[in-house]
Amino acid sequence: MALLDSKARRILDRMRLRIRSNATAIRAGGHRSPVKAAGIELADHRPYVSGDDVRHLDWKAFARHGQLVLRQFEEEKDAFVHVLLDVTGSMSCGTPPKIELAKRLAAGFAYVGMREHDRAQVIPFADELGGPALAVRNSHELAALEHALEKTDASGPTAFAHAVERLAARGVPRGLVIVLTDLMAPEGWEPGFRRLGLMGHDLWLVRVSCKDDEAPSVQGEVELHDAETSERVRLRVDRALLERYRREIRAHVDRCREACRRAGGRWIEVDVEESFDVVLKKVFAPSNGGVA
Amino acid sequence: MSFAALSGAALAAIAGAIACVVLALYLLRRTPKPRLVSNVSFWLRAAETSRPRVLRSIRIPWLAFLVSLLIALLFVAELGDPRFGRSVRGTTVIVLAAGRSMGASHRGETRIEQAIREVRSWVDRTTIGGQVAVVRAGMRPETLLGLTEDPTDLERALRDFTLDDGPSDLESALRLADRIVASSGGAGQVLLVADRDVEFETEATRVLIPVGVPGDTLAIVDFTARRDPLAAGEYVAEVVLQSFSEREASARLRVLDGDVQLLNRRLTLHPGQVVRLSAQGFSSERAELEARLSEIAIVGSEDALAADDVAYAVLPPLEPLRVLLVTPGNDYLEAALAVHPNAIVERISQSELARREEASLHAYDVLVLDRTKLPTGLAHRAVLLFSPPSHEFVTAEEARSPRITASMASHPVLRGVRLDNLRIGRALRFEVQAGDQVLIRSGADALAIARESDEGRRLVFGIHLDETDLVEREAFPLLVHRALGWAAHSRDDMPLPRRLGEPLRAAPGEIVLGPTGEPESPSGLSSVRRQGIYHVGERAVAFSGVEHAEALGAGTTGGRLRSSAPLPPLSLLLAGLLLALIVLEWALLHRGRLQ
Repeated sequence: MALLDSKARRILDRMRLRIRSNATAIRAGGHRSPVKAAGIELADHRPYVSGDDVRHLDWKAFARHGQLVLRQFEEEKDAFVHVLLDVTGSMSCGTPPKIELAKRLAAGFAYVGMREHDRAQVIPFADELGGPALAVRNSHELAALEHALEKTDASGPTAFAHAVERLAARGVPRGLVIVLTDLMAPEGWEPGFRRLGLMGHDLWLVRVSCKDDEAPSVQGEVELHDAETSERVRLRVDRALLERYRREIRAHVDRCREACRRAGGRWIEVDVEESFDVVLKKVFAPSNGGVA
Repeated sequence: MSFAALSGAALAAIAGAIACVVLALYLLRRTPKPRLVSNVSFWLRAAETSRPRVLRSIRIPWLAFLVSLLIALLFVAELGDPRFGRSVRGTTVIVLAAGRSMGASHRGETRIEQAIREVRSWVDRTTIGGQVAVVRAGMRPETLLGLTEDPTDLERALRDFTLDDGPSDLESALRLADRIVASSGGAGQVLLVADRDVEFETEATRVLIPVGVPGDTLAIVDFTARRDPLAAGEYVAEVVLQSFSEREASARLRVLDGDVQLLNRRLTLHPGQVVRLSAQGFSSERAELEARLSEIAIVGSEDALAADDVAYAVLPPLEPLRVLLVTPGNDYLEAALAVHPNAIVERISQSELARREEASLHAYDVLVLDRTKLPTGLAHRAVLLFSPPSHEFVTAEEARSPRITASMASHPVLRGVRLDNLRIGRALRFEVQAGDQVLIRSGADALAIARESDEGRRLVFGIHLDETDLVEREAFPLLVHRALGWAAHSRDDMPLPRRLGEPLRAAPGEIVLGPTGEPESPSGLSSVRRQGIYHVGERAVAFSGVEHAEALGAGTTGGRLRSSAPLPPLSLLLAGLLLALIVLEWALLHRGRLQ
């Protein structure tokens, strides 16, 4: 089954990525740029100074007021969309596995970016950052991306801060960074988000959650197998321990949310048990920066 | 079940095996379920912060394990009854109750089946480390299996095992078992496998292995047959039923004389009710009676014992009575004699009597002379005279329309004979001599006398039979019947059914047939154990177990092994207490109070 079926594509056709204007690129695209130049939409007037392009003089205004003023237009630029896809072992948990939803969302972001002439690329990460991927500019590249995502497995530990360091080291241009993750690692999220904010990226954090992480239903003697490190821990789980665990998870998620907020990011939570339509509408909701 | 006969090593082995089972269960309980989680770090953090302060989590399972182990061992100890068998090994004598109550059934299994199963099990175990003997505790105890080390001997001994219809004599059986243990020379024990216990101290250690539970039963508690004193030649069968149940019961009672059904009635008895029934109006020279309960229905229960549903009685045959009747003609008297079931009556005239010789009269048991005197020169030991024409008894004058003022009702001749309001036209008055018993008196006149002397018995009635309504009454045949019996010295006793356990005597060479019609072995006749009707030659003897009918209790309800050492089951109490602790621990664990 393709990551994006026709129904999902129809929904995505109505969606846009609202990216902060200071995170746009230099090529013409679908996003407003802070640079007022050769656009088609009038933005403002300013007095003419020597050296300005005389083609932009507003002659009608000169006729009415006798002053030379220059018409200024908003320039629509394209944007870099970096989708950081968490492919650590923890993403294989859940029913269905969290990685499945994350991969579909990654493809969805790429599809919307392609449609808006953005340069979207999906970069998997675990304890290392995945290799540089080609930006998706057309349907062929999107198909290649889907094919690559389908072959992607979730394994290995999480090192988000390190992955962000590697991203910075690559010198990726400023743009929209969408992090698709379950946040199921106790450390590394706060410095990662802070670094992304300092790099000037517009940050979206899409947390993929599942019931097994949030409120597991297990009691008695259990041997816990860590999906990321294969570590094994024996515990006698009772109601008190379950409650304590839930509190731990809630506190961790709250800390991550606060770190995301401080980095200027947007926080979106989706659940694996939700239908993909609902997830898409939730991710691209206007309140989250999308435009339906 | 008990491990009492096992050695200490065997008990230790069993305890060890139980401990292994408990350990296995504990390990199974502690075997964790694998579960894949996203990251164990969060679980470890939660576990760090929720660790209990007083009891570390690691100690709780171990404590639970130790408590479980202790409980299991206590149960083993309780089952094994360590009070019994301590330093007592060697000879084991099993006393197996074989009384009628062991035939009681519960849910399709009789007590004796359960007991034999126990005996087999004990023989298997005890022959491992010593000798075993089995005493059959029937009405008369006997050794069923002599001392042996081969458990297969028991099967041979049980081949023809049957229960007695009487109660088991447990005391004698225990005494016999005690003697066997003592004669074996070493230490030993006596195991009593029975449905009740007895207060009897044995030298060897005694252990009761109880079988059976209390049951409901409907029983025949008495059954007799006798001649009817108020009806010549007839007999009465009386049955007494009792319900030994706390529920309402019903059954069909049949009384049979061979193929003839004397009584067939459906009865309903309330809890504990006693019902007495009689069947009468049957005339027979002899009878072999059987009373049987069938179609027994007890509300919410069932009749547990079949042995008390049947009883037997015998009506012995009457001795033939040869009677010579000398009369000019008297229909009433002839009819009254004909009613007598065993009378062989020969009628002759007065002239014929005069021609008889005295020796020929000795062939008769009784002479009945109606208005006839015994010719001079003839004598007989039993003479019954009605209105003799002249006699040494008779006074000069007859009484006209006398009224009966007194009668000797205690005399065998008048027993059950009612003479009130009797109309008499004429009657002879007799002269009473010393030793005479006046049977009927009218004022000072004796109208009927009984004389007993060395010459024999004379019974003289002065009432003219053709001028009284006595002959039309029911009392007349009975009077004649009684008079014949008294004059001829015939016995009319009705023997009660014989008690089980009593001997049945037979002449040498005489064949005794048992209840099933099969010849009985002479050894079994010294103490009859099976109820029924036995035939010794022409004689029938009934053995009935009705007197042993009783409620079906179980002396040791609950099936616990009980030792002669009266120690309380402390280990059971401790086990119960610790079991409660385990349940508490489990509850607390699942409520999150413990970890």
